[in-house]
Amino acid sequence: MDAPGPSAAEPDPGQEGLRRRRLRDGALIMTLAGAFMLLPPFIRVFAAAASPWGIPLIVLYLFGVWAALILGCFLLARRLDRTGDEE
Amino acid sequence: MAANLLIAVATGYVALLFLVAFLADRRAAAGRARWLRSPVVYTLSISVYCTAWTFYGAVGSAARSGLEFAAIYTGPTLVFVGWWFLLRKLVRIGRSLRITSVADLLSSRYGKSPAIAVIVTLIAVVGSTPYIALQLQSLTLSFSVLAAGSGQEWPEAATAFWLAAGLALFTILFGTRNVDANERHHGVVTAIALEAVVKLLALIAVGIFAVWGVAGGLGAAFARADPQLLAQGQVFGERWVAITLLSASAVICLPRMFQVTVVENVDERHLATAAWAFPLYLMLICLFVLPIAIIGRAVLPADANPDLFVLTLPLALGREELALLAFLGGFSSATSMVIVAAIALSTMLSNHIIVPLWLAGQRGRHAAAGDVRAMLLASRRAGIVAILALGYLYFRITGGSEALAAIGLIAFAGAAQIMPALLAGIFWRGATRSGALAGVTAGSLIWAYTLFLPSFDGSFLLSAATLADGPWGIAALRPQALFGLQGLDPLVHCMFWSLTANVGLLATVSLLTGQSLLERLQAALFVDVFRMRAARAEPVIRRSATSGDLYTLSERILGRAAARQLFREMAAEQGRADALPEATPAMIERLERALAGAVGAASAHAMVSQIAGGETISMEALISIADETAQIVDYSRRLESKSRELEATAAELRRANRQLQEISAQKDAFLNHVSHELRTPMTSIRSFAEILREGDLTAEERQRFVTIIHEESQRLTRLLDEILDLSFLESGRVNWQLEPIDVEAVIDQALAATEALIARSGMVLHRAPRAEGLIAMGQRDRLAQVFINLVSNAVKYAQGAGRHIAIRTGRTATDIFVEVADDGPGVPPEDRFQIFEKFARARGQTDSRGAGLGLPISREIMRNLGGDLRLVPTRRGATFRVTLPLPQRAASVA
Repeated sequence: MDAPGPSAAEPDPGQEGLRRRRLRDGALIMTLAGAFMLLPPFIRVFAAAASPWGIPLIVLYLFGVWAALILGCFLLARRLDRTGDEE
Repeated sequence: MAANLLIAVATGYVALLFLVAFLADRRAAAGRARWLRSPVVYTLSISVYCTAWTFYGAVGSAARSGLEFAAIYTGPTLVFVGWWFLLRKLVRIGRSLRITSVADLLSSRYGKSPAIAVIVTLIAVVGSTPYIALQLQSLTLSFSVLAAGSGQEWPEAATAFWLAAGLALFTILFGTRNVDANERHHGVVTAIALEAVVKLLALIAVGIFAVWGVAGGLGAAFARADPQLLAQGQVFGERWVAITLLSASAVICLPRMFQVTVVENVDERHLATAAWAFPLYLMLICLFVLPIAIIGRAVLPADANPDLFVLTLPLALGREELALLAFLGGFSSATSMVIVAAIALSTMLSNHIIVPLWLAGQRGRHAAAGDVRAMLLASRRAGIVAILALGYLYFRITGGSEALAAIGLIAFAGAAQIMPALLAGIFWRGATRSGALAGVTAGSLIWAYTLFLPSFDGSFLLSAATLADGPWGIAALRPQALFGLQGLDPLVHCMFWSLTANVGLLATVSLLTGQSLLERLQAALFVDVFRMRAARAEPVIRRSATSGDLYTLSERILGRAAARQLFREMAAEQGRADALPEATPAMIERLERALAGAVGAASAHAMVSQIAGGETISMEALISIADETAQIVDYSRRLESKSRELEATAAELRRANRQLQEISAQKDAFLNHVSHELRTPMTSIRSFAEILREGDLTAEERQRFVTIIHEESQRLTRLLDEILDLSFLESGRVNWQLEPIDVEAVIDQALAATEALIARSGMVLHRAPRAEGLIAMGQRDRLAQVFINLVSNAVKYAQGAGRHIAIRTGRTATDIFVEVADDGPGVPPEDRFQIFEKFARARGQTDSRGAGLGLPISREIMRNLGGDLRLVPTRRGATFRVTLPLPQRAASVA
């Protein structure tokens, strides 16, 4: 039998575990970052009077963050879903 | 718009909903419900979050306070984006323990406590009633707004009544076909999904019309905004945080949200889609809210109700078909909320209030007496009617005066009181029943006192005087400035006090009280739900019951067919084909779960305990099993890591074994060689000795034979010496005293010893100019042995073919080297790798003098001196290079 080690057919369990943990950490950090960006005091930075393209900056910011969260979640969710059960 | 047309459209739409629900139910019953179980339908059904409060109220809120409405949708967005950490666990728990409602979840977690279930049910009903009234109000308002143009007087009360009746009928028809609340309501969910699409399309259509049809572009739309409205800074204050928090907990704790997200979930994987798709839905809903509000304010008269802009804007601009679409959107939002809320609340009412009361009435009699199933269905239907009746009454009594948004947030704040106990329940094993009870009760009382009752403006329970000055004139107890905390928004004020009391009591009381055994078990099941799969918590309570009684009970709750199916499965699992299953603890536990799907954990527990004899629960068994579960989890983890270790060790052992086998093979080969090498001289010695013994030989013959015997035995001795020498060198036990030696001098010594040999062979020795100061740490005699061996090898193998032997010395940065080269035939490429092996004499060479150990011995000597001996690749002849480390390096090697 071969010595244990990574091979093409069977990903190294250690690497796999690390990848999963990174995905989960990513999901957590994305959620926290979303909360940070959508709550005061940070959100007040964008409540300025500026209106690029005639649209108030705060509206652009709010929907921009929102869309970014959705996109990030879309990218992460499918991978996370495949990682299985452990907490 | 003509009232008749309006009624026809509404009726047609309702008929469509009935048809869709009916077809979906039929398909599901026929087992062809694949697309009904898609993640898209699941996501759309979650959008029941967006009620008429969203459809009409969001625009109203935006017209009054700008972006504030958005917090109601960003909170849920954050919850869904973080689905992996909370929602996934809730859904897993809900599915594995067959949870029927949010009240059931808390009751089940806190030791199947009926008290918690009752309190949560009461909060839910109290919080939802105004919310349902709000939907009825928005429905009737939208009817009268649309019909206003026709000049007819619109009968508001009658509309509300018939709407409530119709909704009750729909909910009863499609929501209570079966008692098993865990059996999904495909018809309802599909109709809700359809309504979700309609409301989104309607709002977007009105938005597009407002922005591009009226204002002429987004920039132009915002340009018409009242500068006051978009003076944004103060929006993002305490109230923004409070609303974000409230909506985040509401999307989990509101009975209807829990119903669609957890109870109606058919596949856990759908959550991965809803995680991004539901926030996307919310964002699309919100996209045009602000523009509609701005343009509504700019276009419509100042006294127009902003809560109805979605309808009145297209109406005022003469777009009746768009107004009709908007009306259908609002209709969809309102009806879907009422339907789902009625199902969720009626399940809670029936499972946690009616059934326990009925059970109490049955005390003394056998629990299975009477048709439980019919009673359950009846109680569900009565629950639905009661809830809609409550909503209708509330609407009639309050007269529908308040702004829509206020009621929504009040309901959210009520639902948020469940959140601490829920979070603690699934993440903290130590949260106890008493803690949860104390927290939820105190939180709800404060919520009712500081937010809910004051919302009646002194017309209900709390008088206007009490609101202004506090009860009995005690200023510290003023509902909206509790303990003198003034200047806060009433919502923030309520949130602060109620959640402080809620969380504080939950934590403190949990720390001070203990858990019952059942509670401890349930806590483990909840908190460790993801670890339980491998070692599923096997039951639990050792009881005595006859399976006949249990069968009767489940037949009456689940219905004959379902009960027979369940018992047949259980019997098959026990290997009893044609009999009732034995009432083992496992079987009772499974039965209890199945019943919990119908009547909730607490009631199922009470019923089964009545039959199975709750008093024979062995508490010791419970403790040991609760511990067992933890142990099994722990044990299986340890096993896993052990087996990984074992695998690694086995691989190690296999490697070692392979090495040993190779070494053993080498040893065999070596012994073979040695015996072969010893045999040849021995044979000749023996045969010559035999000839000598037979006599009759001449003196010179005798002399010759004796000489041969002598030479052969010398060869033997040399061979044995070499073998001993090699095994000594290879053993690693060499402990030479190293001394500084002049390498050139050692070469002189070696050449002196081989001078005669070279001269006899007729070859010419070339010696490069001596290098100065080639001092190395070594052993003079051993090094000389190596050089002698190399020179004599050169003579031996190059003789005849070559004529020259060259010796060159020098140094590199780290080493001293000596090269011995000849111009003979060289070493054939196929032999190069093995000339340093023992007995690997160059092929085709007959050698009477050595046994092929010279090179291996020389190499071992060099390695023991910290240097090496290598064959240098050359085009002609053979060149061997001896290296020795320069002294400072040698020191570290020695």
